[in-house]
Amino acid sequence: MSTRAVPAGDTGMLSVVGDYVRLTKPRVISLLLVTTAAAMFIAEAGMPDGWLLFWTLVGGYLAAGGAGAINHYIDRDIDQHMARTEERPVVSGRVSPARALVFGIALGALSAVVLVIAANALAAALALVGLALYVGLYTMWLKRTTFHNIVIGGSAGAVPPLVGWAAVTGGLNLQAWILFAIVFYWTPPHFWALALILKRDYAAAGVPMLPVVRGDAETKRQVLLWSVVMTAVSLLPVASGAASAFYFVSALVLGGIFCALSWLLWRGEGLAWTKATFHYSLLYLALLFVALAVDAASL
Amino acid sequence: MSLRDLALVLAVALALPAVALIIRDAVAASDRGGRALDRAMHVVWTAVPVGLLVLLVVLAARA
Repeated sequence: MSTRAVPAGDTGMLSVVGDYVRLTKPRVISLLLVTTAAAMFIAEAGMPDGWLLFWTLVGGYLAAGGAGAINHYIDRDIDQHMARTEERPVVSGRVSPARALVFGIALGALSAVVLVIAANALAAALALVGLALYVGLYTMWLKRTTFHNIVIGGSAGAVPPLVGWAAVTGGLNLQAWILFAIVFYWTPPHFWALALILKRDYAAAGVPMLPVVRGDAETKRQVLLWSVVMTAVSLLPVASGAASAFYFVSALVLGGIFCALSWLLWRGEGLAWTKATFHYSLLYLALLFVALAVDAASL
Repeated sequence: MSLRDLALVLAVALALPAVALIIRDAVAASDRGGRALDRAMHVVWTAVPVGLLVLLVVLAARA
């Protein structure tokens, strides 16, 4: 096996670029963009214009990435106490707090420009509302003050489908808000499963996540209850007449698996079912939106 | 019964007991004491998702 010598300047530049990309939280954003793209397919009842799709996703990435970078800036006092986040670029000193903040604001402004030009003012405004909710409502206020942080703060992560819908139609209707609600009610069971896994980190950082404040047993019970509510909400596209049998069966099967895993999480000891529920929750949201998009195209 | 009716009935049947338990938990938690403002916010944060759910179910049924 051979290794290639890389000039120090190149690795330095790559490292800096990598740190700025990390500020945007690309792994989190990828799932948000799936919901944006799917919402565009659903709104169009088929394939949306390719350029509109591309630039809406770019604008969505910039807005969510800007929110992520500002989150890195604000949460640097918390992040240094958590094993999962102590190596983040700002905490580790590789990117200064001021630069992270300016980078985040710049990405947010750029997202508005991109979305106004490529889509419309409503899509741009919604992307900025999502950024403001994530930074102001979740990061600065609720995350630090109440165990309801994820329930209400989840509204920020539920905005991307609205951006996609608005980009295609120029407006919002009941179907768009149902897509918003699917992500909104998916967030608590998804994030509380993660919080159970990271409970010690959150406790060390003084973040009042539900497992820290109410304990594991109560959190597991809430994961199950909210999984059931989430499954109920996932049936509303059919109940409102906007989706057909294919999506109905998909939502029941996907939601049934989610509830079954949540039940096992609730009844079980250790973290095995918690991790399974968390990982499945990511797959669930992506598959549910794909099923909706396929269903909309075939109606 | 149409597929639409079935989905609505199922959604309500699933949500109703779960929401009832969530509200019961919230009421029990707000009785545990703490600052009046915290208790009030606790009620608000519980009412928002419950209210949104009721609104969406009603609108879906009327659509």
